[in-house]
Amino acid sequence: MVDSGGTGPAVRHTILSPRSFVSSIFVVFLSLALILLGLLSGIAYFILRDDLTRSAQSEMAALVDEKAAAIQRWIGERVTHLDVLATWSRFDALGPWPARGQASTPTQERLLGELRADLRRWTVAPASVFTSVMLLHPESGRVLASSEPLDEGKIKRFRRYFIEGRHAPFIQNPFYSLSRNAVIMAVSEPVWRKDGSLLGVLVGEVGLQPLDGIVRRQSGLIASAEAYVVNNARLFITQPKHISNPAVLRRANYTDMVSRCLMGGSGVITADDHDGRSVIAAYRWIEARAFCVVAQAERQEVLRGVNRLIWSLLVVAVGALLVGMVVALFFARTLARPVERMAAAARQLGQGDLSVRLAETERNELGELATEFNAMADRLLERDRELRRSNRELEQFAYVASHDLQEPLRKITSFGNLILEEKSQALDQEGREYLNYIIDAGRRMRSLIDDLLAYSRVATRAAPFEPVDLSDLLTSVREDLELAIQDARADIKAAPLPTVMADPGQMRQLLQNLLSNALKYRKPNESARIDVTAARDASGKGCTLAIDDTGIGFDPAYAEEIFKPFRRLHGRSTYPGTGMGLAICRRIVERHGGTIEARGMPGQGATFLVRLPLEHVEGAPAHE
Amino acid sequence: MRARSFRGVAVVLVALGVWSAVEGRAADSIRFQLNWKPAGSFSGYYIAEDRGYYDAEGLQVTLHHGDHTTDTIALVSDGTADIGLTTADELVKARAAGRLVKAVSAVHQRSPIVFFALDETGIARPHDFVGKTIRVTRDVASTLHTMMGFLGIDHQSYDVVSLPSDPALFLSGSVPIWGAHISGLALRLQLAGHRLNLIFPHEYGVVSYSQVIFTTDRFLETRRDAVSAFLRASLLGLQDVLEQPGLVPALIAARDASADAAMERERMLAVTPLIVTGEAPVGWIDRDVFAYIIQTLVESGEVSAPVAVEAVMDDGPIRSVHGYHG
Repeated sequence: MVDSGGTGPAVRHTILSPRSFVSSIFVVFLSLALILLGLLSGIAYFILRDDLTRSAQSEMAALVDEKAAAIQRWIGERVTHLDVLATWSRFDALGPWPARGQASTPTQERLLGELRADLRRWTVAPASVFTSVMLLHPESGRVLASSEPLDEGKIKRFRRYFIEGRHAPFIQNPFYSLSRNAVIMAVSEPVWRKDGSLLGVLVGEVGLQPLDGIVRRQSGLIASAEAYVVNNARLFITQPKHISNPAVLRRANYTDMVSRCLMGGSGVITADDHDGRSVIAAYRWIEARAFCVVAQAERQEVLRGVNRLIWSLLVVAVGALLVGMVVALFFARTLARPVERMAAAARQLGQGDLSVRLAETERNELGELATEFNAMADRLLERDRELRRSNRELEQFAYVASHDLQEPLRKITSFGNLILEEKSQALDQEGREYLNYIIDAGRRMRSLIDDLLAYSRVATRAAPFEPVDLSDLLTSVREDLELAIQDARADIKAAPLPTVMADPGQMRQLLQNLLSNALKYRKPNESARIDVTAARDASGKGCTLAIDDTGIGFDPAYAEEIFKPFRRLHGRSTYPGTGMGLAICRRIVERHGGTIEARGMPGQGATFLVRLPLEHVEGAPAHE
Repeated sequence: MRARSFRGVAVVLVALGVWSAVEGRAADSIRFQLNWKPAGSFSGYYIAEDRGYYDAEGLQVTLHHGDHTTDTIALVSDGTADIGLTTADELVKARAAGRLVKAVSAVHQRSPIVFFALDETGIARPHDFVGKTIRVTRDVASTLHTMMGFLGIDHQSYDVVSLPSDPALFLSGSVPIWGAHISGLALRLQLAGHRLNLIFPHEYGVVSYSQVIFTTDRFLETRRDAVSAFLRASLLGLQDVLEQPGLVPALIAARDASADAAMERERMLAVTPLIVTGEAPVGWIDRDVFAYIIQTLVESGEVSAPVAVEAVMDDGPIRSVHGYHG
């Protein structure tokens, strides 16, 4: 994008570093992406978790209702069947039971035999409604007839199904039968004679396997879903799916859900189950049975979808992060590159390469900026050309003027001297004095012209740069100034000086001017003391020469003035000179890409600091 | 800042309260007299001891084992022990004899006595005992006579004999019907593969409690809360064993290296149906049952005069353990 005809170095450090700009955009993009992703993930997680929990709660509530209804239906069917049995047509023919210790009548024995056969039909296929059915004596609870012959003669007077069944139909919750060696339930109901007296109590025993089957039957989509029943003593009366040891009437359930249920409640809850697993459960109290039916599903499974979502989101997040990084980097680079190029172009422009231009390919604000930049560069280039032309003309004029002025001036002073030497007797005293004025003015004019020429030659007669050992050069300069040094009784101390890439002749002139300056402006009646030192810059790319004297110094207010051509701080009669020395110094230093400054106080000496690059690239200085 | 300080102070105060409460209760010691050597049926107490259930209740319980000669009622009556184990019948008899002891819980809700015969003999009901000889011990004889009396079978129609608990004697067939504890010889024979017909007195109207936890009237008056706490911790231990009978061997082995720990597990399983019947909460005692026991003992002449039910049982502690009040 940058069209540069210049050869200046590509310095990339500006106030707004392209790298920091890219980083900023990158971080902003990435942060936005992460925040958005985090927000979306969080919202999705909570919504899905609540939905799944609610869905599972509904499913468990439906399951517990279904199981409770099935249990009631199953028990109700047993009661209905016993009702049918209680209507056995020959009960009334049995007559009153004999007193204790007396035998039954033959008719009773016969009828009990028929009853026994009928009872047995209810315990075998296809009916298989009960595991056993028996008729109990209304007073003693003795088994009068049973589908199980061995049961006859047993006494059930302390069984609740007998005690309660004497008055009304009764369902006894699961209990352990030693003779059956199993947990069973029983339904009972009174059998009334036509005269209203109690003939006996009909009892049907049922095993729990069908109930267990009803409760444990799997339905729904949640694999961990299960239902179980707990009695009012907190004991399981159906076997929970996840308990391997026999739990019926052995294991107690002290969970929150059962506690709530036993208080007569129904509801849904997220709590720990009997195995300490976190479950979503629904519970229902069956008042008529004093049962607590619980349906539960593992929360972990219910929320597995959420967990999968979280993992998916994590994977997506990582992917999005990577993509986001690439995209952010791309965008950052895309946005930053034109800015970076503009910054580079501006730097080049600032370093004097006025040929640099930006490609105007963007059709946006950046494109407009490039257009404006190029227009500005065009204007600068035009101004620069004009300036250069003007400078060249001026320099040419100065050079030509000073060069061409030398000849008539030389003639004026030559002929003035000739007149003074050979024709002075033809002049009177006043004439000779005037002639001396002319000759002196001519000399001064010549000095001015020489200095002006020297000033202009810094640019017009410049030599290529080469390594210049400043220590050697200073020694040579001191030799050139030997007489002046002796005259000033000057003590010059020089530290080792570096070698720089420079124009040897101009460096000589620089040091000579600065030393001459220090010698000239020494304090009256005092010997001059001059220290020349050098120090490398912290960057290592340049050095600073310091020429420190103990002379008369100067007012700091004129620190910059003294470098202007023909600027003098003292009268010519006090300190002779044209006022061009320091101007030439500055021009030389600037041509070498350096700077020069003066520090001082009146009566306290002066210090001239010359900063020069150590590794000079040929052609780098543009101030010519 | 102030709320945080307040919470900190509150936490310290609660901690001090709990600590002082526990410390205060730790001094409540109870000597519990068992009626047998280390056995599987005592595993609930062992668990409560090992797992710190007694400690959690602020009790320092010391278990004292016994043997067939141990008169737990005498030991509790004379203050050697605070709480003991016995049968309901023995307790009623002791109360009738003037010992001021009361049942507070019954671990076995049914009689642990069973009559058994080899399946091949065809003896399957008490009615089949007529004309036969029946091996009994003292308490088994009482149960037998009560059961046969309920069935209207005269005592003279069968013979009883006292024999040591020896499988070889049983298998010899000389005495076809044996009466014993459900976790004794009958269990060993069944585990050895013999098919037995089991006749439970419980099925023929014999109602009784065994492994009855009792104490004195005075102890109940003065340390009623400790009794409730003892029952609560013991039944919690018992519940653990019922749920995990596999714990029994280690508990026994830790207390009696010479015991057959594996057999004790089987014994515990054998009595489990007596403990968890499904008809009453674990450890429950019922007034009607005690009234019936008293009546039966009076009718059999073992107790000369009726004893008030309230004198032989106090169901307050067990009701409080199960959350029944009033």
